[in-house]
Amino acid sequence: MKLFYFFLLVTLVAVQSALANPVTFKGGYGVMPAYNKDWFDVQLNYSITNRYAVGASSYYREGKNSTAEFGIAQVNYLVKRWNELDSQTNVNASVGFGGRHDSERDDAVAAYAALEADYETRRIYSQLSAETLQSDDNVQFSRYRARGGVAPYKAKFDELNTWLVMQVDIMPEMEDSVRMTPMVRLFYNNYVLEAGASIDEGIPFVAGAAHF
Amino acid sequence: MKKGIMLSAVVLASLFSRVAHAEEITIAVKGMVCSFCVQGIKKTFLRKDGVEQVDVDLDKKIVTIKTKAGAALSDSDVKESIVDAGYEVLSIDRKA
Repeated sequence: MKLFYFFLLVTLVAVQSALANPVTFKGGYGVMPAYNKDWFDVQLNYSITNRYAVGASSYYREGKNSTAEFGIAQVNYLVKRWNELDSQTNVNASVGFGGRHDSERDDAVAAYAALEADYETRRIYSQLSAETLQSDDNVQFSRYRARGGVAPYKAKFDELNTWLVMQVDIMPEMEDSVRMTPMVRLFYNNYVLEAGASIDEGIPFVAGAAHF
Repeated sequence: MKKGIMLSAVVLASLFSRVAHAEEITIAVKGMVCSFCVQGIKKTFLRKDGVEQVDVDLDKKIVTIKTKAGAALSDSDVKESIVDAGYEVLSIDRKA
């Protein structure tokens, strides 16, 4: 079922346009779906200014001890951006509140928090992030992520940009709690598509993003 | 009388030509590194009534705006749009 929703979303994104950074440009919208074997995220946001965005997110987690869905209303804040001639560095923070739902327990109030930093040139891309989902009855899922990537060629903005990215996820509450995933990241105009598979288990990873 | 009419015509023609001309504004921008950056800047400018066309040279970090005939886009409008998109202005040059 989650796969169905993922493809539905990707189709919608393809039809309209869609997201990557949690804050885009003033008045911009973003969509960011991401799928792994046992988790699925989708975030929709609207940037009120170039520093603040509000959004709604859905997170599905199939962990070692529990499975849950979280619906979260969140605020994303660009804490700091360093604009340089050939690079851009960002620090973003997000907080959100909502609910947790699953078939084994009563529904519960839940919260979300994330911190992300990235550095990007036209040839190098890196990112560090940490996020946690927590409900008031102690169901918790965390994810710590590191990413590094290179662009094998420098493309114009209206050409297909290709990136080769290595992603390391540490998710203590999941089976296969450490996943190293090499992937291809394709950038075209306002769309991003990422696809790869983990080194050990071959767990597929697919993510998209668009701004409009 | 004739001189007065001719002078008025010259002044009016001069004013009209200033108002009616489109302008090309070249902006050097810091922080523009990807196609998302470019799209954000283009969308931000194209929302403005007076903007006809937006071109971006990512190698040179230059954004070129062509205004519609008679439209005015001040330096502060330009800076505001670049900041709204999340970037910084290094310089602004204008060509009629």
